[in-house]
Amino acid sequence: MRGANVWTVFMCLMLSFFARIQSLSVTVNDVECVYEYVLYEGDTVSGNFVVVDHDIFWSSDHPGIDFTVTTPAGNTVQNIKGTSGDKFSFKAPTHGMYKFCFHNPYSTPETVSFYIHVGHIPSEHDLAKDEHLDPVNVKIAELREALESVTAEQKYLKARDARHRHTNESTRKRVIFYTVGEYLLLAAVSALQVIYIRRLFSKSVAYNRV
Amino acid sequence: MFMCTGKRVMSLPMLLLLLLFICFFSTSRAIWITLPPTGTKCVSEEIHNNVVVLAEYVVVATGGDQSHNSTISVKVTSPYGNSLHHLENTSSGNFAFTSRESGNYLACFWVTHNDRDGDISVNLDWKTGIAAKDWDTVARKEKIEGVELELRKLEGSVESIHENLIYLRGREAEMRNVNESTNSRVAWFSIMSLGICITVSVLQLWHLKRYFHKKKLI
Repeated sequence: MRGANVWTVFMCLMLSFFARIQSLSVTVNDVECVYEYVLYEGDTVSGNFVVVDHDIFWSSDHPGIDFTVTTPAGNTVQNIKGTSGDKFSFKAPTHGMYKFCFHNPYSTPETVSFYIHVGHIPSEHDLAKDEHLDPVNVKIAELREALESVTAEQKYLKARDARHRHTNESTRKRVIFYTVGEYLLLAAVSALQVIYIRRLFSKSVAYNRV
Repeated sequence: MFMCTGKRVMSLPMLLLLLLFICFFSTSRAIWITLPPTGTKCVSEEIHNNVVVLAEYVVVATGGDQSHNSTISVKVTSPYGNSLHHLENTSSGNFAFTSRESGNYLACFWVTHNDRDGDISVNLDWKTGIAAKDWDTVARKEKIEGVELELRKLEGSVESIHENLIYLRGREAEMRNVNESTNSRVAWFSIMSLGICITVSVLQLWHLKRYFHKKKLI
């Protein structure tokens, strides 16, 4: 009975550290790196990132940022280039400190909203020799991972919604300012035209018959 | 940190094993960010109203150099500019707040004193919403443990997913309203632009005709 009790305690500890979630935004000027520790080899590291626009004038102004994931040994395990947002998922080949880097090839700063999750399902490899794996705990871990993937999707959707909202508000402002500016410009140009024509006819001596 | 209390007393080696696990696990729960020697680095998150935020930050001692005296300063601001947490010259700290305003919450770090050359790494543990929930007190208050507590956590997770979905749906409805109003504005402003064009040209012609009549050219 004591063994079962200790096992429960151990599994409690194990399971309590599975919810390692980080969801943040950073402003990328040139290169920004965040580091996350992966406890076990074989853990699934998943996540997403979305570039939340600053005010780009033309859409070709900024094609996107590059994203790289480097293992503790220095190998690149993920490399996504020139994108405005993407999801990623990979199985960690070793445990250790992984580096997630965003590279901005242009000089305009971009804000990137990212989310990284490290998920672990307990398996036979983690246990000492005389302990047994409780299938309930494995199922709970799998259920937790499934829920985390839903949460990850939601965070992605939320970040994309923020980006769309920026674009929409920018569109709205542009509609108002550019059309009102257009009207004023039109009125000003036609007034200038009239003034110019008047000037032409009043200065020229040939047309002046008094 | 989550502690699972068994109903029976544990033997000493088991306790030590537990402590070892705790120590091992507690160092690896957050992201590291690197601070440059000059300038600030900020992280932000868009948080809606009434969400619990829990954060902890620690300057990391890299390598075998335990005599680090590097200190950083922290400032956390709400979307409307109110300062929620401000600490100067510290090597670790934590803060917690419940968001009162919906918007972008900003946490900025900068180096005040650097003991060694190069960048300083800060271990930041930032939790919002369901991740910030204190399961220890729930476990103690309701006297649940083990599998039941894990299932309770999963239930909390499902509830937060449901809340997030409702929030997303609300944002989508707002955005749809804005889009539809922009759509109708584009139509109206374009028609008005045509109207203004015609009006202005009519005015031009009328004015010039009057002018030439006055100048006896017509």
